[in-house]
Amino acid sequence: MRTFLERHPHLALLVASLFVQLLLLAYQIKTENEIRLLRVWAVTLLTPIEKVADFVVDGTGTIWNRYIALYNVERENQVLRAELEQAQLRLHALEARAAEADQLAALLALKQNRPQEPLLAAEVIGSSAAATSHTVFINRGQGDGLRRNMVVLTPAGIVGKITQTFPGSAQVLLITDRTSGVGAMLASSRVQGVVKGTGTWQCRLDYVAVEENVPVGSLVLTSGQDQLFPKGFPIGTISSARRGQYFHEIVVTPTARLSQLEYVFVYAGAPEGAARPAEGNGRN
Amino acid sequence: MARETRTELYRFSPLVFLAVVFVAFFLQAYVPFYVPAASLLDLPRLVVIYFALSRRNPTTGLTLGLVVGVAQDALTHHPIGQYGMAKTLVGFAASWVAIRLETEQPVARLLLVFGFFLLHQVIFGGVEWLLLGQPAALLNLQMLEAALVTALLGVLVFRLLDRFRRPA
Repeated sequence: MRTFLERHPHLALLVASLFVQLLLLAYQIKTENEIRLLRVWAVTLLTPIEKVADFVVDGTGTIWNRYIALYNVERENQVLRAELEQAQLRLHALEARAAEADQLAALLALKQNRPQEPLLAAEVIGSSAAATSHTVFINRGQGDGLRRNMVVLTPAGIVGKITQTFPGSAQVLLITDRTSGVGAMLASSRVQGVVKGTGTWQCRLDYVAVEENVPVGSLVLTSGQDQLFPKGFPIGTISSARRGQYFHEIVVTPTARLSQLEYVFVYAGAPEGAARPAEGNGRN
Repeated sequence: MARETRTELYRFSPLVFLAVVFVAFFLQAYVPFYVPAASLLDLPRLVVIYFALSRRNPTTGLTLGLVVGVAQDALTHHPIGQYGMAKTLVGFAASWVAIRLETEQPVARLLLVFGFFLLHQVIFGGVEWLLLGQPAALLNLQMLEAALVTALLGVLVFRLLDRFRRPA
């Protein structure tokens, strides 16, 4: 044995090294223990260097990118700004189209919910030339069979009625116009009254006796008593109610967004001859 | 006339030795973080082979392999001794070969690094398979590619490290 060690010291050292490591491996496998101390030393030794290197590399990259390699930044900035403006324009266009699609979908739903009723879709193409006149123009007219006093509505609620027809268009008097009146009733209590325009974007509900309960927020529907507006369509909701001497003074906010109309339906079921002005307003 | 084979011994400053080992570990741990393909290279293995070939002393070679291998084990999830045994054997074998062969020529270095890379792989995989009972890919195409790339890199790195050595 001693002779072997003297003759082959390198080989003996190799065998010893491998044997020790083999024992170490066997110990780790048998006990499932790690030689943690060695790992801690090794990692502790290397980690600070890695952190410093990381700091140096990151710092160099930051300095290079932010302060040195700026020769293309101005041009890139211009390109990005142009792209941003284009994107904003596209976004606005898409938002408008989405809103339009929502309105059309609502109109379609209304049409599908009332298949038996003669609803004719129309687009609002203009509004009144005077602030005192709450009227709009639609792109349907005599050629489409429209006649005076036909009711105009949206899925949200009624809009008004046709006052003038032309070959390719028609004028619609909104329910908010001072000359407008609609037979109405409270959805909850079925108490009846008349919704009249005020010349603002709100209406008032007249002829509701002070004995009646009028909760704010209640829905007001068409009553059909005027024989013009079909019964059961939403007109608006009660914004405020104040007791008067004999009647409540009730303010109604139309459920249809009358100041932002784009698409409407014409209820083509009320012929001109059969139409009768709404209660209390001979000029309807 | 018999041709004389000149096998010169070289020495390294301990600082150079430590610095090279340290840099090898550092690059091995750091570069794959940014270049994942670099994980195929084994710079500590390259360092062991280089110093073992240059020192031409099996004891130095195996000791170096042992230290570097165990350190590498400590920095990985492998049990201590897996890399250690492989590098111990490679360090010993490289020194043993360097005593008998001319190892200064680039082609010789290329072939030696290629061979020792694969030898290391076989030992490492063998330990994994035989002693740890885990499936091991001993040799495959990826290993051969890694061996070739490491060998090519080794020729360049060896050339660079030659500048820091001096005849013993």
